Amino acid sequence: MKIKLKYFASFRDMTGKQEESMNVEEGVTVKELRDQVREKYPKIGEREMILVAVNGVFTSLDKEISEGDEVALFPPVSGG
Amino acid sequence: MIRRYPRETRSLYSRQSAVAKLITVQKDEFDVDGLLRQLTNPGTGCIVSFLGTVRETSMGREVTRMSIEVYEEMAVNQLERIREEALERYGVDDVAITHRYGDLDVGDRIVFIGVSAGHRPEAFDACRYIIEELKVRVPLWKKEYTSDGEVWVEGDRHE
Repeated sequence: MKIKLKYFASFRDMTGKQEESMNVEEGVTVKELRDQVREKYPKIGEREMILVAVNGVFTSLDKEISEGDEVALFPPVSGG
Repeated sequence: MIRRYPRETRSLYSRQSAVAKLITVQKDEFDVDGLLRQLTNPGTGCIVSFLGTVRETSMGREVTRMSIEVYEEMAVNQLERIREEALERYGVDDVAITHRYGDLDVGDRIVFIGVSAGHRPEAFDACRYIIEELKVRVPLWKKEYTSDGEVWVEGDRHE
């Protein structure tokens, strides 16, 4: 199934893109997807803290991703 | 420690303003007087506000300017949640939060938080709660242009 990945801040620099679509297996969890991204982009793989939001909401690592979901990966935030 | 206040302390006029206007993420400078006016209602005894600005130093480095990146849809959603939490936990009258993104110079305003309430204790506590939550839960990132080059600022906590 197809999903959309978004990257922000230093992760956008590391991937060289703001977003991309990816084909993933049905039932893939947030944790598994995060590991796939780590593998695809070794620089992200080196990072200890990777935040993941699904459709704009922080979710648990065992949540299953659905077709068409927007999954954002980014470093700890620094607004304010 | 988070102090909780009874809901009854909130005035009858709370939440009359449209949330859409009270939570904004924008490139442009914001109008503090206008925001303060929006927060004022007949039950208001005080407004506590926080104004974040661009500092000329960071971690011992000189900062010449800053740019802020945002995941806008999520940031607005997170700010609305934090606003609701502050209204609920502290029983304050109203809350406005505005955060800028894009290019900013030293001294420019970054963020405004305003809390109106009948009395000051809950207004101070709610304002503090909002800025601390914003710093760990709202997807915004600062990039500082320093004497040592460009540096992404990253926090160390998350929701």
